Amino acid sequence: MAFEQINRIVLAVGRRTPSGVNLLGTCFLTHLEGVFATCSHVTESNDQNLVIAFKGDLGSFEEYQDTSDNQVQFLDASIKEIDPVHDLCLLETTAKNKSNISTGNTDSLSIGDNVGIFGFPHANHGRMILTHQRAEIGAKVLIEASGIKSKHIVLNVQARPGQSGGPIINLKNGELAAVLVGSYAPTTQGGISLGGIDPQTLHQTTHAISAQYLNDLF
Amino acid sequence: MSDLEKYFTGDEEKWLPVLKDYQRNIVNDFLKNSGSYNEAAEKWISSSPDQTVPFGSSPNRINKEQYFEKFMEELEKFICGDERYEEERKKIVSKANLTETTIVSFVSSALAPYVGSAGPFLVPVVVLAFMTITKMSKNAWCEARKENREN
Repeated sequence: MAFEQINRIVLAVGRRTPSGVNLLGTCFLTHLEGVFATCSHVTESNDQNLVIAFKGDLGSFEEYQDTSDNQVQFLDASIKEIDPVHDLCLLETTAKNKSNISTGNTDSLSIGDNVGIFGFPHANHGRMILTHQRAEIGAKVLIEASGIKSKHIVLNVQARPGQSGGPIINLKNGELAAVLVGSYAPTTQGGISLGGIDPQTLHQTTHAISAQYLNDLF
Repeated sequence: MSDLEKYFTGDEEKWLPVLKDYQRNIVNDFLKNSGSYNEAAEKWISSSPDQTVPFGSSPNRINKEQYFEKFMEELEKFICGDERYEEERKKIVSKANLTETTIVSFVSSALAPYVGSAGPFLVPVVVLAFMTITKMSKNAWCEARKENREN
């Protein structure tokens, strides 16, 4: 499956500040005109100064991305719908384009199936490099939030901050299967951070929520 | 505010149809396992997947306990007559054909900048708070809030 044009659909979420745009995570254009999807936690439920950020030249994903180019363009975004239980959110912009990604779910995936992951790892350090990963489905799990259980998949891959909100594409049919939300971490109090990195997140157990819950927001 | 008072009478469940299907399904699930409307509202605000570290990259994590209390303080100011929301109150009561949906949407948008949130995120929280106010009556709710602050 080819993804030369995926960089026109998968963009970054940021917040305007006096010193520039702080990157918050990943989003992707939906089938609705000007509407992007991401995780609710990426926005912190607050759309003040929220933007969709992108590089000016949206050529092909196959082209070299210049890591020294810190210039971004942006579109103002506001929260259209938000579901903190399933950690999903729709952002509305004035963009006139839409994507042809169809929204599927994780039911059609089997353990061991391959999926494509797109996002901006290390965006917390200001790095804005759209990156593709390919991963196997390691497990299907139910994860609880405020007493409500939701369908998730475990991806056998290491993800990093900035990838939340990234689309997970079912490589068998090209459908959106899930949205990356974070990584497993034991429920413990406290913890340590080394150079801004939580050692508990350095493993290959990445969580993504089934895209079926996104359908409820459209 | 007396013109809005009539909306806080009758069956408190009249506020639920304001919610979209996905919001109502979640709120109904919360209400099955919550002791109060406030508890359900706190669940909406503090919800995040268990055993999962989110991979957004914002450095500013919200203190969700403080967030709910901040919301309640602002709602009290709006409902109980604080001058901060005088203009908004005048605007809302001047609207023709005022419905529950319009009131919730208006109040959510008015409070959002002061709470540090987006209006759509506050909609279920406002609905649940309005259910409490309707159950108690507006005056009783305002009195209870005042007593809590003084104690």
